[in-house]
Amino acid sequence: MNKFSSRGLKAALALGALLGMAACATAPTSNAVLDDANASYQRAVNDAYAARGGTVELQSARAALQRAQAALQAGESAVIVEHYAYVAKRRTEAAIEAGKVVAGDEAVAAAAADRQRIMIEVRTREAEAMERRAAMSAAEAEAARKRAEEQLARAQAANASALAADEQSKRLAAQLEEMKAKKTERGMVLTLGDVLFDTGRSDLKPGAMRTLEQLAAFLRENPERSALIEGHTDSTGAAAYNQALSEQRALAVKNALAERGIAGERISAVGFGPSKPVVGNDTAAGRQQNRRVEIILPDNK
Amino acid sequence: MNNPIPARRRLAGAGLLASLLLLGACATAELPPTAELAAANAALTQAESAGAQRWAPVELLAAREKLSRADAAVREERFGDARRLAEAAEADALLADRKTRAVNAQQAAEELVRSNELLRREAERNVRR
Repeated sequence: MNKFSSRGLKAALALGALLGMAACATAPTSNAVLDDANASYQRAVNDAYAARGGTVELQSARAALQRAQAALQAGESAVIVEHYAYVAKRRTEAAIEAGKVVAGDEAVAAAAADRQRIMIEVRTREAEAMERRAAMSAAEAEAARKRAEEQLARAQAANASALAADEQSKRLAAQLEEMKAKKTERGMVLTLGDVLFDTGRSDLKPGAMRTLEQLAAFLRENPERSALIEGHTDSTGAAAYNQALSEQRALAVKNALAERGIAGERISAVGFGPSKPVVGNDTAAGRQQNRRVEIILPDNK
Repeated sequence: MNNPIPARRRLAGAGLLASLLLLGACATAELPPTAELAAANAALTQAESAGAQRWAPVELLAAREKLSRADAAVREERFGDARRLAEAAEADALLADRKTRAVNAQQAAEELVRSNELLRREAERNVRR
């Protein structure tokens, strides 16, 4: 029993030694560094960008992997196998980076195209804004032109009315002249003869209207001036009657002027009866001259 | 058999060929990795001019360090080590170069997107004004 067991032990030991020797003699069938390099290579091949941008790098990586595999199978030292595995892995990484270059270039191209679009949009918007501004300033210019025109028109109108006013006042002065206004030390004196009144009456006859119209226009035109209206009669008849008649005639003129827009405070009306004859009352012609209404326009200042 | 010289010469020739083959074998094993070193140097120069010093300094440093170790290995006539170091340096430099280019491309894109955004905002403001 002992003998057998001792023999069996010897056999087992011999087998183990043989197996051990066999293991030593046979090259290892795998290498962790090479496996890792292989896995990296597979990933890179499946990376679309690396496949496109890193074609050369991937080819050289594959060549290095094949040399590593050959070295492994030839039973060369791990240093040699791992050297080629290292080179393969570095080239694989370089392929991935080369793929990133392609990706980056594509992004640059896309961004450049995007920029082109933006520039076009910017220019379009600028053009539109410019158009709007131009339209706006055209409208402003038009409005300004209209304002200028209106101003010019107003100025011309003012000028025209100034001229007209000037002309009118000249004309009025001429009319006063025409109305036989006499210049005295009391101012301009206008005499309305008795033909403007019926005998013994104080209503103005239509013939007086033209002269009164002219007078009212003159007073309207010269609002700073006032008028003094004096009624006179001849010496025929009762003095009180003549006094009243002269006052009424003066008042009639004042009222006629008031009807034509001349304020009452600017007009004074007085009657003098026969007390201030201009000529003697002995002749009919003299009496007619004395029957009168005088309108005095005192010189201003 | 009256001419022993050719036999001797044949033997000498065989010996010469053998020694030549042996020499050739020795020479192949001991040649410095000139091509690999040149490739590594070129890759390093390319990475540097791309701006790797700024954008991929770790990879660039690894490449430089391996290249100087490859030069040292050449001086010590460890040509196998020298070749592997040169190959690894080239791979490091390649990665540094591509990484730098990737960063540059991404930054260019981001810059453009940002400036587009500014332009867009400026345009919006102009319109509102």
